[in-house]
Amino acid sequence: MATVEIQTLEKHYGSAHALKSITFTVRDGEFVVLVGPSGCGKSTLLRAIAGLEDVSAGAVRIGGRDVTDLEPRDRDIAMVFQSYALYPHMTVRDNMAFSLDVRRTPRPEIDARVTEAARILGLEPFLDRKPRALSGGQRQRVAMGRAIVRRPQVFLFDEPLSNLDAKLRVQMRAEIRGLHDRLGATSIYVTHDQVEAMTMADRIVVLEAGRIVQSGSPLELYGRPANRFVAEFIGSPSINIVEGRVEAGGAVALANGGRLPAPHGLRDGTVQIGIRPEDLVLDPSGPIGGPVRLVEHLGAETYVLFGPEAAPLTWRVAGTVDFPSGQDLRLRPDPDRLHVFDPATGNRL
Amino acid sequence: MSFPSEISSGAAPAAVPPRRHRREPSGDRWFRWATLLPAVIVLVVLTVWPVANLLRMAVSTIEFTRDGASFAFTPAENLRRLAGDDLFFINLRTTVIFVVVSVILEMVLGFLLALMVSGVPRGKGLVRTLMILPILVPPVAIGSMWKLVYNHDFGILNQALGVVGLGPVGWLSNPDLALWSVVLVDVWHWTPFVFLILFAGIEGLPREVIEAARVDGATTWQIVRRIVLPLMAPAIAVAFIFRAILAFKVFDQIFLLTSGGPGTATEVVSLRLYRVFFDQNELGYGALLSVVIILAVVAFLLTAGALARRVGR
Amino acid sequence: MIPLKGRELWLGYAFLAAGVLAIVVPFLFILATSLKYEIAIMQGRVIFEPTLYNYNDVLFGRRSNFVRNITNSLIVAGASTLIVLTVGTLAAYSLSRLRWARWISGAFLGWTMLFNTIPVLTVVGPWYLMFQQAGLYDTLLGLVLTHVAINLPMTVWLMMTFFGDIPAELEEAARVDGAGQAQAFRRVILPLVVPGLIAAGVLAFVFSWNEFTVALNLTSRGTATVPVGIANFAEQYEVQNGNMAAASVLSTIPALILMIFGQRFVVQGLTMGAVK
Repeated sequence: MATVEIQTLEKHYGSAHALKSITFTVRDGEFVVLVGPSGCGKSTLLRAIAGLEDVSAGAVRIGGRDVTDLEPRDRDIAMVFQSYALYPHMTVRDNMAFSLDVRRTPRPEIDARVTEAARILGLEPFLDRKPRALSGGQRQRVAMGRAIVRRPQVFLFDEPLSNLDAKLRVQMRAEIRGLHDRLGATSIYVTHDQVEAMTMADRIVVLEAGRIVQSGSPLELYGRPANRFVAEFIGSPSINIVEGRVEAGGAVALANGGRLPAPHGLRDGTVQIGIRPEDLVLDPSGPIGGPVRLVEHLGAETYVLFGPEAAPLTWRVAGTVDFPSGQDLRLRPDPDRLHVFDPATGNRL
Repeated sequence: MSFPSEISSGAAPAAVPPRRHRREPSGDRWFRWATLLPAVIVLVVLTVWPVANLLRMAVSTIEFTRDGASFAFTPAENLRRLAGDDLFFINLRTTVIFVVVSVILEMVLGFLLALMVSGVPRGKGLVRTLMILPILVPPVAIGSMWKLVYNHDFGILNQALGVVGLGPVGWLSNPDLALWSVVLVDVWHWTPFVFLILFAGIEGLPREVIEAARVDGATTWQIVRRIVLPLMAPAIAVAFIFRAILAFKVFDQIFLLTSGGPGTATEVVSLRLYRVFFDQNELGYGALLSVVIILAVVAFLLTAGALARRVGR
Repeated sequence: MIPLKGRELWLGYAFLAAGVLAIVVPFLFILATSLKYEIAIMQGRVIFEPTLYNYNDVLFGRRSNFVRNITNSLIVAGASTLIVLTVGTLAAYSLSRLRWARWISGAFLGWTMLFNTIPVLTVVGPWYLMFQQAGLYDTLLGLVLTHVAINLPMTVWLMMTFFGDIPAELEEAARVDGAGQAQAFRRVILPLVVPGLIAAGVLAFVFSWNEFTVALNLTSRGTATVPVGIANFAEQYEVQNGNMAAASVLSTIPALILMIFGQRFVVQGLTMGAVK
């Protein structure tokens, strides 16, 4: 397998600046997830790596070889598309064999590889069917099969699970990750779903407006988001943000009158404080609180929405608890798990 | 907060020179040219070259000798003749009347028919099948068909009028009536085409939108006027443009039915071109008329294009 | 789509019936005429004894050239359809999917639009001169070429809408899989536009079979096509109504076949682009 190096990649569409000096390296055998909201450039970046998109400047290297000027077919990559892009007029077997066939691989070799891929993916009973006779999950597997018969240096995935229903998505998530480990492949995976990113990635690269805002392991991103954008993007339910003012004497005064112990080294001024919904505990003298607005029961856990009606905060409690609507709630955040952001730049302080 | 070392977003200087486009692989470029070139050759040799030739012919008088065509350069004479050619302007007027009346009738009838057929529970398939027929049948056969229908002595129309005691009508021989008879044939011939396009449009409308309007309490007429018509505007525009172009080019049926007569009552521009080119063998003057017509078409297309762009915005 | 109820429904059926009658009656009249002796036609008989005399005369009469016309029409329509389908499909693919500069595709489509809008008689004069010089006048090859030119715009536009319907991802998948442009076209794209090829081919064949204006002016007795043959019956000093009717009925056979067996493709071809 191989490393993928992206160096100062730029992409302009007319006056739009889709990719802004993107630089990162995917290590051999690593599973990297590119994540971000729609329009952040993650798909453009993946297509640039695939060679489906010309770049305005910068370089792509795969396995140490500069492939920036090469056609997709010469990059030794395989790609799984969002719509799967199965060839509708070919059988499952022919779909998987196509890439080997156009490279004039000997017939016995093609047969062996297709059979092997079909076995791995449980597609053996469907080899002679056309894609339209398959279910969504089966089509997804064929798309995977088409990629793995190639034994490419790098696998590229473009939101491959977004057309599946929720249950199948969870199942395929594990399958794709399992396949990656089994093949020892290098994979780059694009998604807008932070749960997919958290569960599958060795490393997550978060993009916003064509720029990399943070890169790190899932837990690094969750535990130490580099800015407010990442903090809000990763984690569900979303992180709570409260405004505060740093006072002399090492405390932060909140807008509602409560006080938090300030993490050391803060300068005077206003700050925004992020508190994960699970980092709150009941405390009658806690600095945060307000009337209960809504209680959402998920069974294993409960989300309690409280505080100002326009922008309520969320408290996540394990198990089932219940509060009458309107009851005043006082909570205390875990002081070691506060995330403090500069309100002007959004960066972590 | 320290970024992982391999990340340097926006900070790194561009180490590689900027590039615009990847070089196209030679095989792909070859394929790109090979696919378009045959069509370009066909167009250049069989359409661009003849139209360019028209310009040379238009300023000439062309005689046929034993060695082929001989060109004499006579621009002034041709232009003078055009300036005094009242008939050509009558031809243009006849064409415009023919196009406007036929196309409007076809649009109205075609839309009503499409609306009705889409609204009845049975018989849609039969109507659609039958409606294909006039479109596919040779226009010449339609001309001869209506020549028989309009026949003064034994045509089915005059026979039917005879039954109710009305005298035979000179459908094609009465100069006041002939153009309308020809219009009727065009309406018969092409209403099915308008029907097919608009019927497909109506059948393709989102069902929920119409059901929502029904739930909102709209009557059938209100649904048609406020929902169906606006949603079908693109299909209606396309049908209209197609029809206007084809009606402008009409030749076959009129050639069969009246040959432009009686007198010049049904002589549309195509029939005039035929007469000048191939009856009177005046290729030079015919070319000049052709150039005028082509210029008119260019003006029409540019106006229509500008209009479409404005409406589109 | 808007279900009619009560009185509206009756109005709907009345309209539908009127439409069907209006289409069918002229056809029945010409069919009846073709089955009458000339004398019965002249007398306007409603009740008559059908005869195949006219068909016999048109097909096997010594003065008739109609079988020759049919052969010519089949050759011209068949050959021009094959050529225009090949040339037009390749061009449509090239224009809709390969990276041409905007001005090239603009010029191509603009010119075909213009050429399709001007009356064909404007170019028949220059064709006449060209073909005389090139020895193509009064040949089937000459007629084939003109029909290719006439049907090329429609074929290109129609095929472009079919190519436009194929998701770009399929082509990208083929490129990632290692196929070049030509391979992707032949093995992935072309099989998917077969319905479009049939629709465009059917229309090109019918339009060529029906084409009258050019055939009238660039052919003579030996190379005349079916429409020209029909016109001859109508144009002779004394109109031969029976023969004209029989020839006309025979000329509608391809249309009838298509109406029965190829309806889907015809409707698709005729309405494509209008509805989208």
